[in-house]
Amino acid sequence: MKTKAAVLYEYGKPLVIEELELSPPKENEVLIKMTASGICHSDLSMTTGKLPMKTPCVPGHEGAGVIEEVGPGVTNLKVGDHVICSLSPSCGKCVMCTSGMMHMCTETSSVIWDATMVDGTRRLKKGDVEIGQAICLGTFAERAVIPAGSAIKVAHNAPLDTVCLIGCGVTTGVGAALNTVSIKPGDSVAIIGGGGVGLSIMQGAKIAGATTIIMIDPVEEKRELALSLGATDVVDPFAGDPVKTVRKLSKGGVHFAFEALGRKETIEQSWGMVRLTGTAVIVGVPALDTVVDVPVVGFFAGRRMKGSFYGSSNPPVDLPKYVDLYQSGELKLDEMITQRIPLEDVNRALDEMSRGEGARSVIMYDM
Amino acid sequence: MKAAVLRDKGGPLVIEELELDPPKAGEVKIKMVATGICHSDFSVINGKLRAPLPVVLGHEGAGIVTELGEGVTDLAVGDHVICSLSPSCGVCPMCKEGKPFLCVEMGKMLTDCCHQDGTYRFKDKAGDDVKALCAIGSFAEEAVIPAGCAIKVADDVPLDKVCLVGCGVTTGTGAAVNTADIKEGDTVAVIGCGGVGMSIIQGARIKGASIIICIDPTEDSQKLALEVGATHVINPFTEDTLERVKEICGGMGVNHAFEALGKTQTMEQAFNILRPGGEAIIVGVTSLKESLKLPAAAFLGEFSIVGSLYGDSTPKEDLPMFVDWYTEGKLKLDEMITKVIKLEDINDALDEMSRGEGVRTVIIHD
Repeated sequence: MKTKAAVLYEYGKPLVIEELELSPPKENEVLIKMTASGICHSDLSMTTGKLPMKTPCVPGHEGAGVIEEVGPGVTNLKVGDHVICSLSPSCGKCVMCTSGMMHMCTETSSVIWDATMVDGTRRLKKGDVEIGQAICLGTFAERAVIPAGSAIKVAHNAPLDTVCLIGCGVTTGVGAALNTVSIKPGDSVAIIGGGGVGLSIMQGAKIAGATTIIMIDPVEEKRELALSLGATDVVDPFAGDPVKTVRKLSKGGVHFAFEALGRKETIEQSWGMVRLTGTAVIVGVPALDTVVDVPVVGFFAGRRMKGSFYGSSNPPVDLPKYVDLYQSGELKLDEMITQRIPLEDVNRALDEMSRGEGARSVIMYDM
Repeated sequence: MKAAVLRDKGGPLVIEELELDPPKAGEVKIKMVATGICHSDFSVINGKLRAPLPVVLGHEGAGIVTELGEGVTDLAVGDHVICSLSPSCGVCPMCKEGKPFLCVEMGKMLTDCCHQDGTYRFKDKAGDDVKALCAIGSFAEEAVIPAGCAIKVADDVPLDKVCLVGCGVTTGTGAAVNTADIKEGDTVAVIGCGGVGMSIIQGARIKGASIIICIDPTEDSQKLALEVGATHVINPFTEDTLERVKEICGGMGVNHAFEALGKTQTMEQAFNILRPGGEAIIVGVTSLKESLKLPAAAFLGEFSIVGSLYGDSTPKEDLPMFVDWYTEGKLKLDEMITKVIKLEDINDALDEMSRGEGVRTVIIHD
């Protein structure tokens, strides 16, 4: 079978849009016809090599689509099912799954840098050259074969071209607020970075009952979007010391400061923003060699710094729950989508993202 | 009344006769029966923790109430009490939030070594003020302390043992049972096994941890650690700590790693021996100017790191609970006391502590 895809051959170079050969699903795999895919900041990090996935590979991991074929042994999914792609196949057997951390299933994490499927092989080819898939997904393609466990079934009436965001950014953000920490009604939160993840954290915090919600982002349109989606205050980090500003706005520091950029400087800032016994939650994905300086004085104030991956979510349970929150109107996704584009425009959208423009671009495969 | 006073940074402590003012409103006078010597006392002497001088050290005391200041209604003369580090004032924002281990009043008592009104109760022969560490100063035969710091215990509890609950035991056991979220079957590592480390080990045992690793180079500490609940020991000077931890825990790090030494290097190590989703709990006290260097990629594995102060305890509830645990035999204190001395021998005991010898020395006042 042929599929059109955007392929990363070399870090820092534009993706190449081309036809690839796709082999059918093996055991416990499914073939998906993508309806849409969000472009996540981690995709940009893959194309620049900040997250060094083995090339050539197809980036993209925030997809949703319809099942076209199921491999042997797949019993819980059938052709025609609508699914969101999950970052974790939640095998249920590995050490992380059995200790209740299905979002960190080792099946994908063990092959993540090789960009292969769980069994170490690849499904895509260009001529004789095998092409990998980011996080066993590779959603910058019209069709993809993915682990069955990574295909999370959703209701037919959920619009796939919007709920695709739940595949990564929304789950990462909303889950960080709802699962990683325990926000109580009336708590104060600060969020550094108003992209798709940051806006999702913000909405999760609002759903949890936070009443002081401070968004920090240098781009005015993102600050405006944050205000319209529930932020009580917005801060331009370049218009003064953001740590001081947040401490002042929250009368001595916030209960929770979320970092959604993965940068050394802002991770360190988040530590300074929290109050006595508050928690800094690191959600952003840093370059792998990043070392952060954490002043010990914060420990004597009982502070905690905690990482959050994929929103500490249990994908089969939580992704459909986030779809429900969207459909009930509590979680705004449409507002986060700043543009819908054909696959051919992916490089332009990545360039815009590198300049901090827009919240989320969504690739539409039937455009 | 005799007391051990620190007059010059570096010591030694001077045994002097001091005068003691009567208790003011909201204070009580105590006849000290016994006091542990805690590593923080030593850190004040060597300047790692700053305190204004001259000061009576000691903060791990227990004794008998001999006089009540005005307005003290919940204590009576003759009550047996343990000295708590936090006065749990009940009116500051942190007390109101249910976090008396961060009582705002305590901050002043720790840094300025004064009472809540900013004054002092000890006077030397020249009539000059002598400060009291944590507004306690248990290296004295008698002391006036905030009533909120005097936690009543049953008359039949041996004060020369439960004095340890005043600081080290509450700091350590509280870190394990309050700060950390230890579940049955979890894996735990404790770096630095003095009085606090031993108490962490015991808290972890009480919470049902399946693997408890003592990381300490001293053979005596390792032996005692095994006696009070550790399942494995690692000598960090002769073994590769991370490799050994993985070997013990089936190829992974631990769920909970405690640092009880107060060194940045071991604080970083506590973070680096975690498994995904694990937490490092910083219990040791270091200079407040230090920073840790942490690998940010670990946050992708949901690592976390948190400070624990005075075991995140609510002194009025937790100190009596730890005493009950001692009485029930769950918390072993007798085993942790490696030496009993008179106040006059305190400098020798501090020298031994500087060499890492022994777990806990207890001074018994006459």
